[in-house]
Amino acid sequence: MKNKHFLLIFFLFLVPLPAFADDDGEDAIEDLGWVAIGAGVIATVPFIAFVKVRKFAVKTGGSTVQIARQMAPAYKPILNFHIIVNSIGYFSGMFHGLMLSSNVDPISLSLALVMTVLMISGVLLRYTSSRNAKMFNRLLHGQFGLVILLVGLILLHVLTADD
Amino acid sequence: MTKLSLFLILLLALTVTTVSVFADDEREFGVGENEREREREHDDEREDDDDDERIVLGTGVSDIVLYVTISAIAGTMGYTGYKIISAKRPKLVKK
Repeated sequence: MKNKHFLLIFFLFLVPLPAFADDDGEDAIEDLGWVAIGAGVIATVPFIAFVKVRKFAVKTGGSTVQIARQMAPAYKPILNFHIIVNSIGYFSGMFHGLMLSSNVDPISLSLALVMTVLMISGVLLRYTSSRNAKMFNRLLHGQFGLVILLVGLILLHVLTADD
Repeated sequence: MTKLSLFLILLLALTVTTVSVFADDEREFGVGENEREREREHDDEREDDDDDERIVLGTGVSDIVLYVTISAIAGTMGYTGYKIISAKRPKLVKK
């Protein structure tokens, strides 16, 4: 069973590879950026929706609590999906940035910084055992302001990046 | 022969094979050399033009974005730390 998981994760990390199937090198690097954006959206939107729906069901009370209970077993697989696909997106984005590092501009640099902060806080939140570190990273990772900043920077980056 | 030495020999053989991939390029001088020179100069000129259009670090409004981002990250981290510390500190009871 564990081998199956390992294989699945391995193949998921190969998802960005078709970006290199393009004949032009510059296009391939640009495609990596789009892979990063796509992976971020696919990994984050369903996860946030799931968490919000579950919270809402618990808050409302009554029969909806039963729905929240039924949703509970799905939390871990969705969380793992969120972590894996976001990791793919992060590394695609970073490779995209590193390969185009000669064209670095303040917006791209800001985007890389915000992505790194969110990624590190997410990894620490999942894998650290200290109570204080977990609490700090939970608050930092879920900051609405950082998410808004990330979306804004992605839009700015897409609009200002050279063709 | 140990497994390690066998592995090292295989690794060396693989490394040597890749060298030849890089060896056959850029050595074919002679025919078409002038054309290649001209193309290279043309590419350099185009890159210079691109440099002029690019947003460079340390200039203009886009720098503000970077400063705002750094301050936002620092502010969020500070706020998060403050929230944790203030939640842990026991409240003073008035007599």
